[in-house]
Order: sequence, then C-alpha cells, then structure tokens
Amino acid sequence: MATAVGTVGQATQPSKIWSWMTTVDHKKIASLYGITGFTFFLIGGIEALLVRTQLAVPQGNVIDADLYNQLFSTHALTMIFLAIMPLGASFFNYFIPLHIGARDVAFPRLNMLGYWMYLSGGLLLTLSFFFGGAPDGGWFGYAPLSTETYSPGRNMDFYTVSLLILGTSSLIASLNFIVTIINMRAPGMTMMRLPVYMWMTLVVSFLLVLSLPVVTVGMIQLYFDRNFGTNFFLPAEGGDPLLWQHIFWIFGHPEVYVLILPSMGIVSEVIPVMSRKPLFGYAAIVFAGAAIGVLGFGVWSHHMFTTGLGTVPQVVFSASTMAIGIPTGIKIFNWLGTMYGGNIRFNTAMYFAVGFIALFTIGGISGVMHASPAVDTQHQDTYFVVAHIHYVLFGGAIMGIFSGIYFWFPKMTGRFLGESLGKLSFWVIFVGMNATFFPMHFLGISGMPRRIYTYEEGMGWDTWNMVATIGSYILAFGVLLFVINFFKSMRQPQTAGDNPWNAPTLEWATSSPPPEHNFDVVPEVHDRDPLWYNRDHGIELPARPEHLHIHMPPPSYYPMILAGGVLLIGLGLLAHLGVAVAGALVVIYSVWGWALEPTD
Amino acid sequence: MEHEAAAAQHNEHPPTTIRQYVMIGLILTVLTVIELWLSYSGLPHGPLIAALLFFSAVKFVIVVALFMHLRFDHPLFRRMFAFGFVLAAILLVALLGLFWGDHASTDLVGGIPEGAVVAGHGDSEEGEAEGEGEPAGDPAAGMVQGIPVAEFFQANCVACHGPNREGVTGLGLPLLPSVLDQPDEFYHDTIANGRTGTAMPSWTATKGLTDADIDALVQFIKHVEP
Amino acid sequence: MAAAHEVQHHTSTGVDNRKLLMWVFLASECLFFGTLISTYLIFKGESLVPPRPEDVLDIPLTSASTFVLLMSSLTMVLAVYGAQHGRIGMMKGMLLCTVLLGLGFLGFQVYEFMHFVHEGLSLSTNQFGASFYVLTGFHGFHVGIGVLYLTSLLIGSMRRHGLGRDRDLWVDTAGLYWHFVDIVWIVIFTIIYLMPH
Repeated sequence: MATAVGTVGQATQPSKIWSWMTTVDHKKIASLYGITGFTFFLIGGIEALLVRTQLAVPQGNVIDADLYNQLFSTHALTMIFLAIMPLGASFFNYFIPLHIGARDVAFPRLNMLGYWMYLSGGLLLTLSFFFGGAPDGGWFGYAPLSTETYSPGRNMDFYTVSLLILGTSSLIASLNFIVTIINMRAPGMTMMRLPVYMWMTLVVSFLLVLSLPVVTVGMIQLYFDRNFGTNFFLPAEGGDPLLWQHIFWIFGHPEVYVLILPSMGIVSEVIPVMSRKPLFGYAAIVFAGAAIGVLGFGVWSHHMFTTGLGTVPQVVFSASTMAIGIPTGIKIFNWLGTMYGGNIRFNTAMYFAVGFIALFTIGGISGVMHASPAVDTQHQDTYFVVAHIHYVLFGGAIMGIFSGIYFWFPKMTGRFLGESLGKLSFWVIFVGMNATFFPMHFLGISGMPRRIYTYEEGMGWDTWNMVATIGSYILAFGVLLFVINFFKSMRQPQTAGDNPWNAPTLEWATSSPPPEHNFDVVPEVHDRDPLWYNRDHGIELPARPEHLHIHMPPPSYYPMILAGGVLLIGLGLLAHLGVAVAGALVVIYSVWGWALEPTD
Repeated sequence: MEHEAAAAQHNEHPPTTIRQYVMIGLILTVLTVIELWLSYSGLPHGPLIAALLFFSAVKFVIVVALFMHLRFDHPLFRRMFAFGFVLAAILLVALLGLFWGDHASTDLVGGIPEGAVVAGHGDSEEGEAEGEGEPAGDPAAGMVQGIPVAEFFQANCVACHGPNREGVTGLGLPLLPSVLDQPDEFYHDTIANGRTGTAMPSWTATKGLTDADIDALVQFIKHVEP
Repeated sequence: MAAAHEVQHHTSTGVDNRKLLMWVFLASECLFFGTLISTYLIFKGESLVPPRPEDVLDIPLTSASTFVLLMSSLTMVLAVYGAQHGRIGMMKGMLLCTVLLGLGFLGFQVYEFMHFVHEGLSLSTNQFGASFYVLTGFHGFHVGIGVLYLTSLLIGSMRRHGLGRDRDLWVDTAGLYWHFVDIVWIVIFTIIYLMPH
C-alpha cells in the first residue's frame, strides 16, 4: 500500500484529505490538533452533562453507578489529555514558528507523529466505552481500586495503555517544541526578547519532558500489576498503594501547570495588545513562570495530606505549596499592571482574558487554602476540591484558550469571529460556569463527597446540586453559541488584514492566514515588541523578493504508519501480545522508512 | 550567541586520541574491579555503601564527560542533562525519605490508615486467625433495625462502598471478606463512630444503630461474599 | 539530509537540532530510570517470601556482562572517533563490535532471567522479583533499541553514499544514547548487585 500511495503522491496532485493526512506544515497540524481537541472538548462536555443530570436530584437514576464511574473518569481524562492539552498544543504548533520567526518547527515529521499518536490514544480512550467499558477508577486511578481485584474488567487497562500512548505523543511534541524555541529563533530574537507565550511554552514543554517519564513508569507498573501478576501496589503481597500516589502526583502536579501555563501565556499576549501598552514587568512574569515550573516538582504530596505522610513531610509540602502561590500572584499583578492606565479595547478576546484573571484568582485562592493540611483534611475528596479544580481548569485554562481563539482567529483564518455573538457567548459561559461550580464550594463544605453517583434526600445538598446542574446546561449553551459563531464567521469574507489588533509580535508581520513558509523574508528582531519598535523607529519590513526560493519539507506518510504501529502495540497490550509484536514490526519498518526518506 | 556558535564550530570534535580512549576504558574497568573487590571485602555497611556510590559516581562522570564528551561540548547540553539528572536524583532521595519515614508515621497511628486509601498492613496474614472463634449463626441472616442485613446494606452503604462492596475510588473502601483483616472491634468502632478524615459517618448518630445491629453488619461484611 | 545540514549551521545556538533533541531526551530518560530505581529501593527488603536478592544474584556472572557493556562503550566511542576523523573502516568495524557486544550483554541478561525463573523467582513471586525484572528488563529493552539503532547506522554506512555528509553527527548522536544506557547500567549494577542486601 505504502509504495502505491507514495507514487501517486509524487505523480499527481494528492487529494485534499491525503494532503492533510501527510502534511508536515505546522499550521495544518495545529488545525488538526485544534479541531480534534475541540471535538473531544465537546465529548467531555457531554460526559459532564450526563454526570450533572444524574446528580440533579437526590436518588437520581438516569444512569447506573457503573456507567457513572466511567463517565466521571473519562470526563476528567478527556478534558485533561484530549481537550485542554491538545488545544494548548494546537496554539503551540501554530505560533511557535510564527512567534520566533521560523519557517517551521525543528522536526516537522515528528510534529505530525505527535498528532497521530494523540489521535490514536484519544480514540482508544473514548472508544473503550464500546469495548468492555471505559476507565472507571477516576483520572488518578488510585491503586488498589485500579488493580485487578477491584476492577476486573478491561477498563483500567484502557486507562494505562491509552495514557502511555498519549504520554509518548506529548513527550515527542514537547521535545520538538523545546528544540524549536531554543534553536530556531530569528536573528536578533534573544531569549529575553521571546514573547511571554513562548516562555510559557518552553516551561510547559520542560515540565512534560521531565514529568511524563515518571508517570510512564507508574502506568507500566499498574499494567504489570493487572496483567503480569506483579504486586507493586497490592499491600497484601508487600506492595504499597502509596507508591502509586507518589508516582502519579509527581507527574500529576506538574501536569496541572502544564494545563494552566499555556493560558497564562495567551492572556500575557492578549492583555498588552488590547491595553495598547507593553506588558508590565516582562522579566518578572518570565521568571515567575520558570519558578512555577521548578517549584511545580516540589509540591506533589499536597494531594496526599490525608494519607499519613508524617509531620515533617506535611510541613515541607505545605510550605512549598504556599510558596508556589507567590509567582502565580506576581503574574496576576503583572496583568493588572498592564491594564492599569491602558487605553483598553474591550472586545471578546479581552473579555475572556479578564474573565480568566478573575476566575483563575478564585481558583488560585481556594488552592492556597489546601496548602494547609488541616483545611485540606476537611476538604479532601469533597465537592470543594471539585469546585477548585474547575475554577482553575475551566475558569483558568479554558477561558484563556477561548481568549486565544478570539485573539488569533483573524491570523489563522483571515476572518474575525463575530463580536456580538462572541460577547453573548462569553456572558452565557461566564454565568453558566459560576452557576455550575460556585455552589460546589458550599456542597463540599457541607460534606458532599465527590464521585458519589447518588445521594440521600435531606442531606442539605439538594438545592445546590440543582443549581449546579442548571448552570452546567447554561454553560453548554454558551459553548454552543461559540460553535455557531465559529461556523457563521467562517462564511464571512477574509477582511482581517495582516495586523488587525495592531499587535507587536512577529506573527502579525505576515499575511493572514500566513503562507506555508510563514515569512517571505525572516524579519530581524530589535526589541521585545518587534513590530511596535519597527513602527516607532520607522523600520519597514523587508519587501517581498521577486523570486522566492524557499524550500519546505515534503509531506510524509511515515508518521501516520508509525502511529498506526503504536496503536497496534496498544491494541495488542489490550487483546493479544501477538498483535503488539506485529505493531512493533510496523514501527521498526516505518522508522527505517522515515530515516531513509529524502527530506528535500 | 555568535561567539558560542563560533566556539562550537571550533570544538566540533573532542580532542581525545584513540590511545586516551583506550586508557579511559581501562580506568573504567579497574574502577569496576575495585567496586567488586569492595563488595566482597566485608566492610561494614555504611562505609561500603558510601565507597560503592563514590566509585560508581566517578565512573558515571567519566563516561558522561569523556565518552559523551560533555566536557568539550556546548554548555547548553550540559545544562539540559544536568537539569534532568539533578531532578531525578532529588526526587529519588525525596521518595526514599518519604517511604523510610512512612514506616515510623504508620506506627504512630497504630497501623490504621486514615484517608480514603487502603494503606498496606504488612502483617495481613494474621487477620485470618482471629475469625476462628466466631459465635455460631449465619452471618448472612442477621437483621438490622428489623430488616435483613443485606437489604440494609443495599439501602445505606452502596453509595460509598459500591453495589458489590468493591469500594468506590476516593470514597469508600472495599468491604470484602478477603480484604477485611482487622479484628471485629475495629469495624464495630468504625460503623459506630465513623472515621475521621473520611466520608464514613457515625451510624449510631445518624441512624441510631444498636450494638447488635452493628455486630450483624460486621459479621455480614466479614463473612458473606457479595 | 542536505537541508538538515544547512540548518545545522543556522541554529540560534550553533548546536545541531538532532543532538539537542537527544540530550533533552536523555534528561527525560534520567527521570524514567530514576523512578524505576526508586521503586527498586523502596521495595528493597519488602519481599514477603524468598527468593531474596542474596539467594539468586550471581555477581561473577553479572560482572562479566558489566564488562561487556563497558567495552561496548569503548568501541562506541571509537566508532564516533572513526566517523569524526573520516576513518570509515574503523567506524564500521567498531559499530559492528558495539552491536555484537550489545547482543552479548542481552544474551547474558536472557540467561540470567532464565536462571532466576528456574530458581523460582518470577514477576509475581515477591517485590524483589517485580522491581528487579521491571528495572533490568526496561534497561535491557533500551539496550535492544540501541542495538537496532546502531545496526541501522551500520547498514546505512554500507550503502553507496554511506551515511552522507552528516555521518559524524548520526554516529555521535547514536553514541550519546548508547553511553547513556551504559551509565544507567553503572548505577543499576552498583545498586542491585554490589550493595549489601
């Protein structure tokens, strides 16, 4: 098959679908990430709506306990690994080369491999509903409830295998991003002239590269426990379930910053542009981001205060958790300082950015509360924690992503997203979000445990659960308005122009949407805000040369085949090891083909 | 940046000669032999571990600095690798500290874990012996507040402990005969008074269970398979 | 390859993309093996039933395999030397030696595993079995990947154009991976085999 397709690809104009499947253009890959990620975001949202519907009234019986367990687990896994991270990766992909003034990422084919593996892992995780049951042990799959004794089906095997594939995908993407940002910058683009968004990308990539291997080991151990008879997490045989918790949270806490830092980067780009003044305290915000990255590795045990860590570890992790609030606070003051005295344009992107600051601050404050082991013990496994994570992840990460979509949509498509519908969708989402998640604080304090599939009448939880459920439907309606806005705007003519916001960063120096090679002439950078510097110093961008001799890498189908091999290995681990061996052979074949493929 | 680039060009090949490489290989072999000799030497454990760690660290550094020529290469590589290595080392030490400290803290609370996690009881085999002298009577036939114990369980306990008593992640522990290895009094106390730091309430306070009711529940969960 | 070669001299830092990728990847691998080694140490002495390490570990045998892996590092560095100084014959010969020594190490490991299973130590026997097999097994897996990696380079170097203009870079990067696998073994050998039980 491969040979036949290869010849066709060279001889004739490849079909449109084929060109998307074999593309190595970072902008197309970004679109793939974005569309797939948003689709999974909608799937995860539907899962959440089912969960909320079940909880609307006491003794609800919309779904049974077993399906409920699968739904809340996959909701978390989908939103974290299949929606927020890929949507972040979509922006990374699109804007790393444009921000640093490069023509593409350092390893275009590796980039595409990351996407294909993400899609494989995502499909495996989502389709598990139809093949013996989705993961049902929560997104942190605590052993021993995730071990074979208490979860005898294939559910948690889908969890380990798909997370191994998704982890490898993120690792590949992050390695690529690190090399690109460090090595592919335009002339004059020193590290301290990088846009803050690039710094956050770099920190996120390092967090992933250094934390994913840890959870990879955990997943392997859990898989071995379930399939090969080891007893890493089974206390009766000498194992230790706390080891799983430590391994998981050594990854899990940096992962939290992986989810939020991209959005912090996005609003750090949006707010200066919409306030029409440079970012206040560039160095502070960069170092705060790096400090969050480093400290992020030293706080994991605050997820485990109730496991009997002992006094000294509790004090240490309590202190480090409080300390990590400081750089986060610095950033909030930076954004406020940027807006202060600015001539602010309140458009939808800015609405979402300001909404981000407000909601993320609420989530941050309830987070710092849990730095105290005493408070944490009270809130452990209650809806208060659910409220906290949703304020950080929805109020933070998702609001930031929406801000980015509205901000960069003109660059990516040449069209504006509708402003009035956009503002309406912002308000609906904002109200729905608060109606859904704020009552969860009250529910948590009045003792409602998270992850129960139903509850008794008369516990004092009825009202707020109903409010939260109504809120979740309002929220879903707001997201629907965005989707309508998207399709409506895609029909509009391309009127945006190169730099509609009068923004200072390099991506606005090229056309909208950018050509495949990004820049006709790679611009030289003289300042942190290169386009504003050029404007103020009367520097014209170099004119487009008569003849462009820009060589872009050709498309390749090896990433797709390689990811197919990896998917086979994953299926083999779930079904029969023979399939895994076949998958390994496919991987070896495609790596060789990859290495020998001419790149010019 | 330009300077660095120039320097990198200049040092493209490490200056080591073949003879030097072979010498390094020999030194590594000799160090390994010394390590072996040490492990057989019968030194006390403390100094022995220190010496072994020292020699393996020396070998590590030699390979990284000279075979992987990090000593002659761009400082960027050194920073990247050092960051990963140092982080791994810190996490290793922290984990070992947490786990070695863990034994002490578990002893303090009498081996009974708090929180929503089944922590290990290394001595679980002993649990069985205590079941021997149980009073006669079918544990499945007990009554709680006038209704069969299984029905009571279905109505009150499954939300947290699962319909098949398999437990619910983050909420209730599994309540299966195979895992309940504490003495009856422990479970009696848990049902009667609840368990601090978990979602388990006091059933004496919430439902007014009597001691006899609780005994029936304890016998049920400890001896009846779901 | 030519395009990549051009890029090599136009990077912002002057270092090649692929080599930087390898070093960051190795940093990531540090965490992978760090976690596996932590697991081994945490479960040291937690085995409820024998065989325990002192019952089965054969230190003379493993010393031999350690020596084999150490020598493979030496041949690897000589292969890099050959590639960098244009001594293609030396490069090919040393690559071949490295591949053979790597296979030898894997042979020792397979023998050791079979011997242990014969002695009654399996993955499910006790904590030592589980953590030992997973740690050394994944190290062996890395050696296996390395053998494939170097074999590919060897086959590539047999082609008419050899490894092309980037020859030294290809071999150098592969060498980094190979030496890393070796230093992991240096740590594993000390921690599992030599440290008192």
